Amino acid sequence: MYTLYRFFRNLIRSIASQAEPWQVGIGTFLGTLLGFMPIWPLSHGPCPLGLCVLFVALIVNCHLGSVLLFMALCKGLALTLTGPELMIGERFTSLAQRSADVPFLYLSLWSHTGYLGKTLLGFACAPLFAILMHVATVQFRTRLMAKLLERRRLMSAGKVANKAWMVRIACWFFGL
Amino acid sequence: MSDPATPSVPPTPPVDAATAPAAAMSEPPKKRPGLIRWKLLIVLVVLVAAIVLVVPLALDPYIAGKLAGALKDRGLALAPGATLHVSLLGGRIHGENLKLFAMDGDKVTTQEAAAATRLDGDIALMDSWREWDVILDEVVIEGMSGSLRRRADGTPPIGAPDDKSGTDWSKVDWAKWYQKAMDQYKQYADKKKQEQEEQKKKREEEEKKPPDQRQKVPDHPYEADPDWPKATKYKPLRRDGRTSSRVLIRHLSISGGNVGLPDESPFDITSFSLEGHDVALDQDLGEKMTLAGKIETKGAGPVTLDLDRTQDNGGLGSFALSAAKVPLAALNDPRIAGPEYAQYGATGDASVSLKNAWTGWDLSGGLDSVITGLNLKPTAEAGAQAQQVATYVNQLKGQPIAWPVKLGGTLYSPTITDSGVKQVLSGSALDAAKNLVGDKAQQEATKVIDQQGAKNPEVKSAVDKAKSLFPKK
Repeated sequence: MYTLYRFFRNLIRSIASQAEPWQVGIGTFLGTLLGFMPIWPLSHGPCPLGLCVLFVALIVNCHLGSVLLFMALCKGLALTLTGPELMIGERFTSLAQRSADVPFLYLSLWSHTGYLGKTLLGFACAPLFAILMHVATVQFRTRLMAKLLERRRLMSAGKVANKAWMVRIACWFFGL
Repeated sequence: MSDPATPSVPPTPPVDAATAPAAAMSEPPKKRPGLIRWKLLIVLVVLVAAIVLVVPLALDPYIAGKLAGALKDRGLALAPGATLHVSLLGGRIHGENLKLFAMDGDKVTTQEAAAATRLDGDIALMDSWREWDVILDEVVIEGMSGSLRRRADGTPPIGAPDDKSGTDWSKVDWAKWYQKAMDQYKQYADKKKQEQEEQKKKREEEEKKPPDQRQKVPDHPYEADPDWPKATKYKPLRRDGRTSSRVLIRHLSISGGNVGLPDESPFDITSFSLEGHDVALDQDLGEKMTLAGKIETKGAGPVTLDLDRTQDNGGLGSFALSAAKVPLAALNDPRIAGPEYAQYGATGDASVSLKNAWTGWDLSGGLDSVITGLNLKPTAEAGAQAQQVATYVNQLKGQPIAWPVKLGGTLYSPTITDSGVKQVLSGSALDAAKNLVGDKAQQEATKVIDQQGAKNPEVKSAVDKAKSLFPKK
C-alpha cells in the first residue's frame, strides 16, 4: 500500500513539478516502453532495443520521474497481462518470423511471441499514456494548482479559515 | 528529475498590484529546456571511455587464463614472454612472440610445439552481426614455425594426448585421413544440399499458388521457451541450407620457417608462405576462394600450389601443384604413399605437375611427371612380380621417363582411371633406348618390347603390374 501511495504521490508531483508538459509526456512514453519491453531478461541476455530506449530516456531531457514511475508501473502491469500479451504475440507470428532473420530484432526478442506481445502492447499503450499525462499536467497546472495556491495565499492572509487542514494536506501532497 | 524550465502554462497566483511590476522587473525570463541532457551525455561518454580503458586490464588476463586452460587440455603451454591483446570493441586480436611449449604432465618442457612472431586478426563485427557468421577481415601470421611430429604413442600433436578412440596412430596413413575427412565433408554437404532442395521445392510450390494464397513468410524453425512454455521462439531461417554459422577469412596471409610434418621425411618444410582470399570451407553462392602457396622443403625441392573454388557442395574448382624435384625415395614410407608403392623401393627424382579440376563432386585432371634416375629396388617381401618390374625398369638406366597419369573419380574418392603405364614403357623406354644404343638398338628395343609384350605372358604381366607403381584408389 505504501508503495502504491508513493507511486501515486510521485505521479502527482511529476505533474506539479517544474518540468514542461512535453517533458512529462516524453518521460511517460519512454517509461511505458521500458516497462513493457524486455531490457535484460536473465534467461536471454541483453536486448539492444530496450537498452537503446533506456539510453534515449537518459539523454533526452524528459522527466525522469515519469520514466521511472511508468517503467515500474508498467513492469507490474506487464506481469499481470502475460495471457493477453501472448495472444497478441501469436497474432503477429509473421512479424516474429521475419524478426528472427534480423539480428537486432532477434536479440531484442521480437522473434519470441511472448516478448513481442509485450513490446507491441507497450507501443500501443505508450502514446496513449503520454497524451493522457500531457493533458493531465496541463489541466492540473491551469486549473487545480492555481486554485490551491490562491486558497493558500488567502489562508495565510487570514481571509479564509474553513477547511484549512485539507488545503495544507493537498499542498503538501502535490509538493506545492 | 529534469532540467528546470518555465511551465508552458505557468500557475498565476494573484499578487498585489503594487508589488507586481517590481517582481516582474526582478525575475529574469527562464530558459526553455533543451532537448538533450548534455551534461549527462558527457558523463556517459566519459564513463564509457573509462570502461573501454579499464576493460582490457581485466579482459586480457581473463582471456589469457581461458587460453592457458584450453592449451593445457591439449598438452601445450604458452610461453611467459608472449603478449596477446584482444580488443572487443574494435574486434581485433594482436599477439607477439607467441610460443607454445609441449607439456609433460603438469610440467612445461623446453620442446617448442609452435611459434609465431606476430599474429593479427581483425573481425568484421558489423558483417558478422548481419550475416550470423564469424567473418574475419584479415588474419596475418608471421614467423610461424612448429612441429606436427607424432607423439611417442603415435598420436598427432593437435588433440588431447589421452586419446581414447582406440586408433593405432602409428599405422594411420594420410591418404586414409584425407578420405575420412572428405567422407565427413560429403555427409555435411549432402545434408546441406538436401535442405537446399527442400527449400527450393517449397519456393516452387509457393510460386505456383495464386498471389493471395502464397505464404508471405517462409516457415522458420522454432523452439519453446522453458520460462514461458506457451510462447514460441522462432530461430533464424537457415541460409542456403546451412545449419550453423561458418568462418570466413577475407584475407589470409601466413608465412614462416621450419614446420616438421607428422613423419620425418624430405618433405619437412623449411620455409613457406600462403596467401588466400575469401577462405571458407562453407561457401556462399558466387563466392570464390583462392589460395596460393610457396613451400621450400628440406629435401624435396620447392613446391608451389594454387587452389581456387567457387560455390559449395563440390562446386567448381581447380587445384594445381608443382614440385620441381621430388626424390622418389621420400615416398618409400608406407605411411606417406601407401604400401603398394613403398614395396618397389624406388629411387630417383621426379618433376611433378598436378593439375585437376572438379565440377560438383566429379574430379578430372592429370598428373604429369618426368622421372629421371628411376631405379627400383623392391623389398624381399615385394614378390616376384615386383622384382620383374624392377628388372625391366632398371634396364632403362635412369633415362628420363614421361609418366602421364589421368585422374578421375570424385573429390572424396579420387581414382587413377588410366595410368598410362603402357605408354611409359613403350614410349619413354623407346626414347631412353635411343639415347643408350642409337637407332639400331632402338629398333631392337622396339621389336623386343612389341614381341615380348605380344607373346610372352610374363612380360605382359610385368607391364600390367607396373601400373601399381602409383597407388590406386
